[in-house]
Amino acid sequence: MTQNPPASAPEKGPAKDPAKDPATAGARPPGAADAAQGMAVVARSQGQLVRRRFLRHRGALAGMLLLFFVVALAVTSIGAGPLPGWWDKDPTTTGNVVGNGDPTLSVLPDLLGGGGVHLGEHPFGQDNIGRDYFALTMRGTQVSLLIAIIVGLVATLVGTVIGAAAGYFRGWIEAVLMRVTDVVIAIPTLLIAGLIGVIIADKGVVLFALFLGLVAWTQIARLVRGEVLSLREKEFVEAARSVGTSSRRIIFKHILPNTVGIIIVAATLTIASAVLLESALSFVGLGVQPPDTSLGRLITEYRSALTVRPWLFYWPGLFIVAIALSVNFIGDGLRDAFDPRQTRVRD
Amino acid sequence: MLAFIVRRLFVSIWVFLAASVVIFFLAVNVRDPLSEARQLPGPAQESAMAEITERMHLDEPTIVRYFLWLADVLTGDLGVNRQGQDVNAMLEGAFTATLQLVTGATVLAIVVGITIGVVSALRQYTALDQTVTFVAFICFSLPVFWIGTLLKQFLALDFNDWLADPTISPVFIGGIALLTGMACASIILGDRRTRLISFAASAAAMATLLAVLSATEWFTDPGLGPFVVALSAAAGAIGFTTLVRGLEWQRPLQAALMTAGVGVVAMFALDPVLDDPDVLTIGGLAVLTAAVSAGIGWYWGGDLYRQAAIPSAVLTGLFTGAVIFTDRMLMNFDNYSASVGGRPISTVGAETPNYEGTFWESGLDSFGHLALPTLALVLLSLASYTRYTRASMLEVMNQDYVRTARAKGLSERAVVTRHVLRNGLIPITTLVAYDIGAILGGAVVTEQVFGWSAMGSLLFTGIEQGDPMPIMAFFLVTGGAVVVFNMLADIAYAFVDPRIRLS
Amino acid sequence: MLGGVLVLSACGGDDDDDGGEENQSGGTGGTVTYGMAQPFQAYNNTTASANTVANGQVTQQVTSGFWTFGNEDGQLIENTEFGTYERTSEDPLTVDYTINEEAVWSDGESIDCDDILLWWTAQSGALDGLFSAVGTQGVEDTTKPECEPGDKAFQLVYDTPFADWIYNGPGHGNNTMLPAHVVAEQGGLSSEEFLAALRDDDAEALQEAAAFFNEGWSIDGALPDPALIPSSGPYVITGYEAEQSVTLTRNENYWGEPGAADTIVFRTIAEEEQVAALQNGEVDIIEPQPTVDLANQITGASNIESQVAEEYTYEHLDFNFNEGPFSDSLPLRQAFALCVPRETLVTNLIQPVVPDATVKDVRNIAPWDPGYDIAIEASSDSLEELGTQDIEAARAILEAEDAIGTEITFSTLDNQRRNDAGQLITAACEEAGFEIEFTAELDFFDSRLPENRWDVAMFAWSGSPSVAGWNSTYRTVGECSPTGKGNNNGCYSSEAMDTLLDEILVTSDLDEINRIAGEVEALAWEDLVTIPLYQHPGITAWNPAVQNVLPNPSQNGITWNADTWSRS
Repeated sequence: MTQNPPASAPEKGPAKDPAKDPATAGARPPGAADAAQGMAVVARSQGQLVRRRFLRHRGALAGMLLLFFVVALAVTSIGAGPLPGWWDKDPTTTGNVVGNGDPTLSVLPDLLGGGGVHLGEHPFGQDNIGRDYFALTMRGTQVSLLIAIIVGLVATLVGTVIGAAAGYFRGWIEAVLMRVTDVVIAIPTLLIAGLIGVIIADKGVVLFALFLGLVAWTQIARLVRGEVLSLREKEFVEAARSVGTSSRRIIFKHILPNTVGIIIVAATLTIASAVLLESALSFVGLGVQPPDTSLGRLITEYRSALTVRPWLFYWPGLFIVAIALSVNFIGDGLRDAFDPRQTRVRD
Repeated sequence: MLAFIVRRLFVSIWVFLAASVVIFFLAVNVRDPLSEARQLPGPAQESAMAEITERMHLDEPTIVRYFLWLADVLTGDLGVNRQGQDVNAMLEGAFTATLQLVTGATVLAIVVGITIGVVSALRQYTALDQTVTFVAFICFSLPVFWIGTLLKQFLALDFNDWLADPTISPVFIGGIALLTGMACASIILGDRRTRLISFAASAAAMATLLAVLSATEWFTDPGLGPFVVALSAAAGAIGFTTLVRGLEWQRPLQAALMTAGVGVVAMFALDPVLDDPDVLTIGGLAVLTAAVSAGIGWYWGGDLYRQAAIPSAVLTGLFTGAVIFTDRMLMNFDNYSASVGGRPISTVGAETPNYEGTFWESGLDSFGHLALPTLALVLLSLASYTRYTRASMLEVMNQDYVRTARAKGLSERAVVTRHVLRNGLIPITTLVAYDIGAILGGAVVTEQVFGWSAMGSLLFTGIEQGDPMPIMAFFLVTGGAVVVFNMLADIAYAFVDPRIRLS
Repeated sequence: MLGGVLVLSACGGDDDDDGGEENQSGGTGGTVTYGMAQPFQAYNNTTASANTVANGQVTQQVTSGFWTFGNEDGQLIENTEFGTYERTSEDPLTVDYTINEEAVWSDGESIDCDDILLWWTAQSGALDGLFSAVGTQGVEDTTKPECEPGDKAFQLVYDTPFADWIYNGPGHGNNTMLPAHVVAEQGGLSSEEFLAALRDDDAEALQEAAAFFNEGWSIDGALPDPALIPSSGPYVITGYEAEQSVTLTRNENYWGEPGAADTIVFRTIAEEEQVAALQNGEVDIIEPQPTVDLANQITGASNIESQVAEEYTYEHLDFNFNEGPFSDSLPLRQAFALCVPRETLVTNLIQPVVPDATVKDVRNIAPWDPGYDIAIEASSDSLEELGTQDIEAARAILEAEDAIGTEITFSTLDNQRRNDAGQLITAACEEAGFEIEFTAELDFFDSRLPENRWDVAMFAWSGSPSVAGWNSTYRTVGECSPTGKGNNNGCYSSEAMDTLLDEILVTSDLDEINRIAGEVEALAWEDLVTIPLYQHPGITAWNPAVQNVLPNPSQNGITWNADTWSRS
């Protein structure tokens, strides 16, 4: 990576025009423009380079904002754990169904013939037993996010350790670890996730997510191993080894820091696919169990409401898409940031 | 190389066996298979439980049951399910249906995905590229059952309703025309004026086309007609020749045009055969077409241009055949539509029960049932092909040999088709192989939305009833596919890169 | 080929209408497609392991008998086309059955003595249950009928009086007579040998035949040889696509009123997909379990007809009498009964589907059953006291018992309506002072319910007008274990109740049965064995082009009169 020139190659196209990019224009010193003109090259650390490239990726920035918005909304509205939220309803309180449970959210101002901009009593409507559907959707979002993040963390941790150990030690350790990886790969994710989902159905969301993470790490393990395989032949590792550095130290101090890029990217994409996996499992009835709920479960429950009470079907769907989309964009931005080859422009 | 393949095969078998143990132990613990029998009244309960216990060997330890299963599988017997039905028979039907769905969707996703990816790479950072990127990410982020439900409502129910009175509203015509214009304008390279002209021309053409189709109620009784077929064949001839060799030389183009001409003539000559052919006839015709086209290319190309003329002619010939095929399908559309109550796009299942019609009508029946699930799956996997192709193309375009090719004055067409495309697409071949598990997973969920009784229902009924045999059958096929495809991909890589097979 | 032509002519309108064959009822009846959630799997629906609702719905039209459940009220109808039966003596209870002289299997073989003996041997569980059967209530208490080859009449003589004798003869589908000549042939016996073996209880000779009877009619991937699946009803099975559809065409050898439709297709479609398929013309008749949205989707669609009604199946709460806070405390059970919002459940979850649905006040008897008023009358005191939600009263009881904060595990099966109902009950009863842990699981019936890991359980009983069906629900169990407790899931036990149940089983007078049933209800309220909640709502929706669709609340469902469906 480091043999690439600083990210200063003249780029065309609106997305890469620093002057027009509001997110970075104010924050950046004039050095960038200087570099583009080939005058003075400012020395930057790897981390700075990555940050700069990431912040220039418009999609990733939008993704960050969207994800931040969704997470903030989900966490603050109905609160999390002991923290109270600002929304006055919670997802479990039943009540009377007011006005057929229609949504009261209105975004059209009076001027345009709408009912004015307001949230109303039940912005997303109510379900059959009078629960506030906004609160339910927020609860679903929290659960879906929680599952996705746990899956992402577990998969990354397991995948990195297995991949790094296999790549560094070679020999029988590699053979065993890679065969284990192959075995897990040979089992279609939906199959094993479904079986595990049913077996631990009543043990709660966190355990469910942990187990999903334990089958989702193979991609990361393969990537990390490949990267470690090439890194361990590099001169700096050779040097460390020759002065008697322990294997553990070499792996953790010298090799893994250099694989951080691909690990972060892969972890991000794992999170995105975990959101979708959770929803698919809930759809076929093998996911989150009531009384808890998730976005996938909400959609599934209200699939037949599409023509009758469409808001019950669309809102959770929109939140899933928003989460997966923003995380995917962030992943794309991170990949570009860590691996500039992919965005280099044809000249 | 042979040693590498043997070694890889050996490893794959062990990996597969180990995976089967894991799945078997999970599958026997997933639910209690006796739960329903337990709810039966009195003596029926006992006899049903005894029957199921005996059939499923519930009184044996799991490890014994595993080896019983394994012994049976090695003789090709997948056992019976809880009701005593033969799992082989169940799997056969399920597998055929899923294979149909997955193959169609994957081929379509690859073709469309690669095309879009190539175009967006060639037009990097244009509005087109960014739109494609954005749409690809959206598709990538859709829960398949969510989009499937929407497709069912809007493309099946509402579209079929619309077919009863197929007039297109002016707003819709305007919208489509605008989009077409914008797409064409951003594909064309050139100054503002050229783009404006192409925008206006394509938008106007699209608007006129839609207006005419709407006014003539073309959609109730569609068809291309000989004129459009001939026109498409000629356009195909020019297009394929450009792609293969460029238009600088006349011979390949002439060969392709001749092939197109022969194709159109054959359309009339073969009319009686094409009324109600069978699959073999169609296959035979395809082979014949390729042979005749190759012959034309060989003869007309002469020694000098043979190398370019043959592929141009063959591609043109097959394309013309495909156009004629489509025309025939469309001509039979009104008959088919009438036979299913005017609602040709179906929402459920893989076929209309007991449907019997001509080759074309049965084909349309399959198409009507496949259309929506295939579309859902294509949307899902399209994104990764598009993104991957784009990235791969961009990477290749920055290689020194491409720069060299340009520097020595090769035309852009030659650079792209001969150097960039060829090298850029190699890694994509393995993408399918490594992705097969995800593709099958998507298919299984899609099947549920569209009520297909295929691999998905095999699995989910198995889980619901605590019935390991169907679950294991599902695993044999899907897990087997994953292992085999991964192995093939590894072997393919080893073939390309000797370092791998030596390690 | 015939089927295909018929499909085309039926749907394609006037294209080539002469493709179909004219039938005796005049004109073609077209193809009617029924969507059912489960696949058809076996021709013999009388064995314990093959018995399913889906198999019953198909075989209803293929193997007929003396009686079936039907009409708008789901009561018994006698099928006089098949034959007649009457009670000829009260003591000993004797019922004479006579099969129609013209009755033949569709392969021409007469329906007679060997079929009768095969039916009796299987249904009575004789020969140690050599021939598998769903249940043997009643038939095992009769002596083996005697008949000679070719005889079409037989007699069932009961050892003890039996309440449900009218439901006890050969019926359609579930407890039907099956073709003995096919079983004999598959068992390697001639008709005479088979008959002789049945008469002499020669289990040895019958081994192979029984093996075929029990397993051989299970349908694996494709239909067996048509000779193995003859019909004694208006339709015969002619087509089958594994897991997808089964096709019936008119039985040309049927002696009675011929089926109206030329072809009936039973298509397997998951419930969630059925409405769209109906709207899209892919099926003609569906009866999914209605959720609020599904019902509104159906009633909101312009091109389909529908009818909603209550079904025999009813939802209730069971108490655990074996362990936990409710097991020995009537006041706690009463407190729970008082806090359950039965009215709200019906308003929020049932009335959106069936507008005139009401709270269910008695358990085993449906509002349209003859004994309903008697049962209500008998339970009126308890209903007065406990029938309406009263959180204050519930709280008062809990305070008096010093039981505020009693922890309860409340469990049910995971589906939308039960989740909703569970949340409502949990909210109300927590207000009254219980501490409730509510669980809704997909494997509720697999583990939690049989293993008694609950204090209150919510599920449904499928009902029928027959008494034997619910008799075991309240009877003292031998051992309170998953296999020992049978249908009495809470292991309730009361001598008074056992006496009543014994009494009702051996009563054959209808008025007397209704009186005792009323007493059973009164006692069930007094002891608060269970709390009835609501009758399950049912919805039937169909294509207006199909005639004679008549919903009924019994478990046969809409297909009870499929032989009169037709499509113009």
